Amino acid sequence: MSTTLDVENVTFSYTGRPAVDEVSFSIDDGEFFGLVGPNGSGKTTLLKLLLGILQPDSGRIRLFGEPIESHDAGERIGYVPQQSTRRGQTMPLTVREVVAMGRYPHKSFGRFRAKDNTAVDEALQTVDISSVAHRRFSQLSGGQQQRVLLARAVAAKADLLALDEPTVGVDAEARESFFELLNRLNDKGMTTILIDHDLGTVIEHADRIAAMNRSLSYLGPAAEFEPTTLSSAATAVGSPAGSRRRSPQSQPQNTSR
Amino acid sequence: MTGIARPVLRGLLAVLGVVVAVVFLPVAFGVMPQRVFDAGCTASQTLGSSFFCYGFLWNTVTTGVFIGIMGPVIGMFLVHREMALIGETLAHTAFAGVAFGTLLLGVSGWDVRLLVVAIVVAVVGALAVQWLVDRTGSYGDVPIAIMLTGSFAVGTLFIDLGGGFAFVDINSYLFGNISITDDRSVTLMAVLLFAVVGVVSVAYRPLVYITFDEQTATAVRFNVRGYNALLIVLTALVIVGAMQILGVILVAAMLVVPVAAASMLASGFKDALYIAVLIGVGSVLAGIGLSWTYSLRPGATIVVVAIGVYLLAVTVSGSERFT
Repeated sequence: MSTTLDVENVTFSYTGRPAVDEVSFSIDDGEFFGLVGPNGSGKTTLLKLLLGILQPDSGRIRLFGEPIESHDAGERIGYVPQQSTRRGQTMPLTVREVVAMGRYPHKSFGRFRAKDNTAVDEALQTVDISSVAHRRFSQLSGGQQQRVLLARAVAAKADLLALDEPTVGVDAEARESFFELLNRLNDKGMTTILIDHDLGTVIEHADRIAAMNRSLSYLGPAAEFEPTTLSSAATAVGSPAGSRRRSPQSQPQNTSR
Repeated sequence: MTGIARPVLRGLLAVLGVVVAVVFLPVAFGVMPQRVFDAGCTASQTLGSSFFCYGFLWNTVTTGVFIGIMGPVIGMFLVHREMALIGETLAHTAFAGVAFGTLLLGVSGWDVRLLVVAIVVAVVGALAVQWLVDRTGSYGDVPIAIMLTGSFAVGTLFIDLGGGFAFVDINSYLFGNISITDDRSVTLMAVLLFAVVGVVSVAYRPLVYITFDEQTATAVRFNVRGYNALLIVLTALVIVGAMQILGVILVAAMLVVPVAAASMLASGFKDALYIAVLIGVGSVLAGIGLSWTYSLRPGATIVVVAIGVYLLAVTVSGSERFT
């Protein structure tokens, strides 16, 4: 199996304050990789480094086998950022226009080709949002908006999908259906990196987990991850130890895919 | 889209495109046959006005239509990136450019085209704003306020150093003037129109992507910094062009108000862009007409008309989706 991401001794500081310190790991093609850690532990910063949004102070990142700084295959990346970073709440944009953005890195200039329009139609169907394609993005619920952004990554036919707290403020039902969809996409071979505030959710869905606290405090199979080793994280995430969170021992076999 | 049917919108745009191509571009490049001006004058007199009997008013209307198109085209990207005040800032930077031109005129007597000087200074100012934004990490209040007041202060000093108001009617640049556009200015405006509409047409997708979601745009390898610089330079060009009629103080309204109105009426970005252009052109034409008829300042009249359209849009849409 080849490697989607290879991270070697990566360090990053915000004006002298280290946020990511000597982190090394790799992610295989098709893997579902979870990033957990308390607030301020550097999860989002690490994700931005992995996507090339930030440049590391030192260390090396290879994406799809190429150095990230020279990598230009933007069309292979899908990203669902934290909701607070988007401006779509005031912008007139139809759902279809947002999904079509997935094709923009493939076709930045000139008229869309038939295959671009087909990819957009298929993405709308895959994510089951065809019925709202002509509605205004900002009028949708938080859960629906996140599905639209997922559809954008599907339209891009992304090989790597990164999600940063994708279901914050989303109700339980929409959240469950979102993760079902995420699993389906991952089963089709889309390498997935997930940051989520709910530790149980990450354990349930991820193949492997990296626990961050500036550096890695755990790296290994999700089934073997002991949440108590991340007591600070468990406190910070504040998620109730309800039905969604499962101990590794009670983890069903089919969740470690 | 809500309220306005798409075929009607496309039809109106087609009409605007034809009128621009057949009437305003020939006027701008000085190739319109004299008999068309004569016919316009006759038609105007038949309606009880001598409006189209004045050559400079043809220039004014032509410049106004170009502003009505360019302002909203750029404004769509500024407003939805919460950069509305950038336009106002660049207008003040352009004012410093005009003032610098007066200084050159006063000191050396060179025949400096104020508009060209204003464009150069505004573009330099635009890049300075971008540099400040990159350094401070946001389009926050502080770099904008510093550039806005700073360039106005520098402009005022230039005027003093250049001999006060002796060499040019600065009042026209502050509040706009219906008769300020000469033949060369209107030609320059046509060139700006081609540049702005052409560049936005080509770079439409990256600009929309960056406007919506800058982080993901960076992740998928759009040159965000480059497009940001491009957008701000284009803004400077539009501002300098529009400043002639609207004046420094009111020019930003042409970038903001039609966009705000259109964003109430359309669900999609492209539809909103087209509606904003129609509102922009309509407001400018109505504003110039009222300004001429009632001897009002054109900039203020255009802005009040545009805000009237915005309030109408708010009422018609009955929505709070855009404020």
